[in-house]
Amino acid sequence: TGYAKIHIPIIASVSEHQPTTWVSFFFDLHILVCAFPAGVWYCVKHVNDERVFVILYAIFASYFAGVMVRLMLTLTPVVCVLAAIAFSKTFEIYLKDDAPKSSGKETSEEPAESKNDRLYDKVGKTKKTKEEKPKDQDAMGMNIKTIVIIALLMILMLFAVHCTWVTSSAYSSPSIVLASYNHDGSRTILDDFREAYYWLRQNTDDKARIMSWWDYGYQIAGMGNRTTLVDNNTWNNSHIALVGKAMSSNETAAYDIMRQLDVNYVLVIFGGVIGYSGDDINKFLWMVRIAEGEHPRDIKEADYFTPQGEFRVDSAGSQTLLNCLMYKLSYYRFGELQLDFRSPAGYDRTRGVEIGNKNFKLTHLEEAYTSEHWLVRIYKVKDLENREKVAKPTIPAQKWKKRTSKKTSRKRTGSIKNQPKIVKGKRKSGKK
Amino acid sequence: MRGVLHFLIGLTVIFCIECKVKQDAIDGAIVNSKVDRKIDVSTHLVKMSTSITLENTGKSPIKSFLYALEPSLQNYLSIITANVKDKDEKLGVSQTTVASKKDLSFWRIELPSNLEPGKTMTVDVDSSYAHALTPYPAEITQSQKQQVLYNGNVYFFSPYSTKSQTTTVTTTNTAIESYSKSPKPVSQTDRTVTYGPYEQREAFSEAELRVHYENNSPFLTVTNLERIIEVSHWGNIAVEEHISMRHTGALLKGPFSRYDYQRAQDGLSSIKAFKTVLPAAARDVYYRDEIGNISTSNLKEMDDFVELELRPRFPLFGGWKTQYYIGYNVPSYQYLFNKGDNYALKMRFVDHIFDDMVVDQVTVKIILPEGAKNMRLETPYPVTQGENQLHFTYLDTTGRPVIVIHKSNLVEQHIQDFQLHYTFQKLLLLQEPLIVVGAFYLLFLAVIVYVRLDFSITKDEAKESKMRVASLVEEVQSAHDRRSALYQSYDDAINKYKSTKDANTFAATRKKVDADYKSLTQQISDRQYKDLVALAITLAEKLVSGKINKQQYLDNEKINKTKREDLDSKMEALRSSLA
Repeated sequence: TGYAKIHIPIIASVSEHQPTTWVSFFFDLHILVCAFPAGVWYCVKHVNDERVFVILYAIFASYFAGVMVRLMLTLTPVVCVLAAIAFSKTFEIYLKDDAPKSSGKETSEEPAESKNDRLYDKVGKTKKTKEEKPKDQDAMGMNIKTIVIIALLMILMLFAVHCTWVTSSAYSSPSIVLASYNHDGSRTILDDFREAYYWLRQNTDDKARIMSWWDYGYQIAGMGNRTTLVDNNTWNNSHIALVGKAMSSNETAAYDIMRQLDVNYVLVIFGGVIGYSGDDINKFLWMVRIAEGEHPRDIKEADYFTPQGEFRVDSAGSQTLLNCLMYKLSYYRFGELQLDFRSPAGYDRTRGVEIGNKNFKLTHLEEAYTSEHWLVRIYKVKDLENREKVAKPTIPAQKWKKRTSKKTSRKRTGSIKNQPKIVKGKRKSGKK
Repeated sequence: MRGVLHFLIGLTVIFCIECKVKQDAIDGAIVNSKVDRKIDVSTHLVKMSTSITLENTGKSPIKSFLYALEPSLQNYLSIITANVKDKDEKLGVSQTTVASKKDLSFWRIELPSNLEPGKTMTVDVDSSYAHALTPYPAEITQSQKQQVLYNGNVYFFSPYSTKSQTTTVTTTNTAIESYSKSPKPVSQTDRTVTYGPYEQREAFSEAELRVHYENNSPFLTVTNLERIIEVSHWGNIAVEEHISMRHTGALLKGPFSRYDYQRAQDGLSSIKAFKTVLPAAARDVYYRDEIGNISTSNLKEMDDFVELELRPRFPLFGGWKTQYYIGYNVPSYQYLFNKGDNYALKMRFVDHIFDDMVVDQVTVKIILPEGAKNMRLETPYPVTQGENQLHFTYLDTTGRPVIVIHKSNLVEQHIQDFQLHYTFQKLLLLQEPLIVVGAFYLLFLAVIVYVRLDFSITKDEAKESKMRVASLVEEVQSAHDRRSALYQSYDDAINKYKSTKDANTFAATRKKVDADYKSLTQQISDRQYKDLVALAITLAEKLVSGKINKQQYLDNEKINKTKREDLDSKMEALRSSLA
């Protein structure tokens, strides 16, 4: 990961590529994390050809799972196998019912011992104690066995409950339809994604091209049935960097890139109204890093942070961030929206701050559609203007001379300059 | 000239006749003595209600009269109905042409009874026109109000002269931008503009009527409707409708701002939701589209109907379109009737989609169960019947026949019943379960044959000897069972002897039972080895007693030994293979 983090930010940006935390180990494996080394030890102790393979698999898989979260998938089969071995060996020991045999053995040993002891110790007492001890040992043995077995069974049942819960909450919810639960338990469904993609499908031209971040490429292609610039399977890192550059630059520079790429619509995800944390502003730094990887002279990551090194979208945020295309597209007209009476207008629920740049206008883009909870925002790329507006026309500053009249007080009547003197009847001297 | 009176009964069902466009002549004897026209343009439809008082100024009775459509509206006619004033009976209306006026559209309305000379009769004619209103301006921004233009005729456009007439135009609200102010008298009150009364106008008199007013009512048009009715004789009819709809009002110009829409309640002419009325027995209603279920809907079950409030995924602004499917199940006893092998399906041709609906194009497909024959369709209005298709679904062999019907330009008044007659042998109903049974039968038969097949290439000794031993054991077991049964028969014989004191029969039975017993015991016991041993003993005895000489003894002994060894090895093999 050291190499990828520095040199290939697009690989480092994927959330499943981050190093694994202990929390995710426990979350996915529960009690098997503890039982798994016991299984490895058992395989090493009773090694044969097949178990060598299992041991090697376990070692390599645990190393790689520690490096990247996604590789937990490769660890789970061997963890299951080895933990099962550990549990089954434990059960085998504790479920073995050899109480009569052992008591028989003990009684046979005991007379031999007592014979020896008679040589040294007093008769009777030691016999009695010796006789009692085996019996006590028998009783203790039974108790320990039941306790251990019941404890292990309870742990396994808890494991089953945990796995069911994990699967239902973390691995089953479709991230396309969001559900939120009100204080009275009823469910509100936020179907913004499908709403916006269906609008794209019905109300845009068949050959329209959509620019968005690559996460939504497949969704747009599948539900919106439109061409996208980049999607989840794009291998062309430079192309993704170009899209990232367009998102990170100001509107005019981004418009140039969009004209180059022949983009008709731009789609951004904005979670500020409902508090959705997987939106494009949260992913924005990765876009900057990926763009910086390809265009280091135009995009610099440090520009998007405050002088203190924080990433802020409120008035203390860096000017580059507050004027970049992603910011403008996410917060267009958001500054006027007041979510509830206590918070100010333009309060971003996800970031928890009031945004810095509020009342701006877009020059090259026009809002085409925003979904009901402002989750998906689609903008149309406007055509070139007929005439390019120059912001400040460069008229050379003229010194307006104060015009004073040449007319004296007497001669008020005006006269024409250089008026040729014409005498009737006479030709002008010049012409002969 | 026909002398037969036409008397049509029934509000709804009028048998389908090929629309014969007849030739007609304008009867100069008819005069419209008083005409009162009410034009309702408050929705996106133009609904015209004309009350005509006909007067027969000629000498012969009149049986029908002609109704002409205004030239500006004649292409938009959706439906025309007529009835005598204050009576519910619908009069027969059919399209016709007049030789002298080829470019005009005429409809002939049959009177219920002859109109005698000198008498008058009042007839109400209702007509609806779709897409007759033009949005003007054609493009509006989100915050603007939608304004439309109505172009019509001030006078009643009729082939007969009119003595007195009035026209009233009712708009949506009081915001009337402009209206044509001639010919006088014209007056406006609130939402209505009244033209008239006009006296003594000629036939086919025209004067422009132009009203430009604000109309924010939903301009929703269903561009294509496909209605699929699947009939099953097991008691269920499944209805599915595929609807493509579009906002046909003024197009949206510029951006769509969600903020303005939510805060300022903009987009007055946009469509947020509409209500669909389904039959009262509709169950299992689903509302989906291409990409999945649409979660924004509400279902309310009332006494007479089921009300479904549908909200499209996004609000429809001018020029925006959407598509969706809705489907439900109804029990078949309400719509399917039969007498012996003849069945009749009576269902609505189109169902309610929203109030004041306009459907540009509809395709109705009726899927009948396999084996339905002799289909005959009767519709209340002329339709185009397409080719019959075949539909294949679960447990179908030859395919289900599909009747395809097309029609265009429908409004709410077209919600009427059609009848489809067909014959279906009741026995064919069993076809589906028999196919399932047959399939399982074949499967089980195949399995039975398969497990009895033996494809092994080499003889597996252990397996074979195992099988042999198993059969022997079974034999022994059955012999045991029979022997124990014999004990029972012993008991029976004794009891019988005790009761009848018959010695002979007792002896006979006893003998028989004894013989059976012996044979069974022989079967069970292992005689072979013992025989050989006995033979060996006799041989040894013979040798000892000198009956046979040594050589003979050796030979016989050898044979005996090999036999015994054979048996031994066989038994060993059996034992080892069984272990």
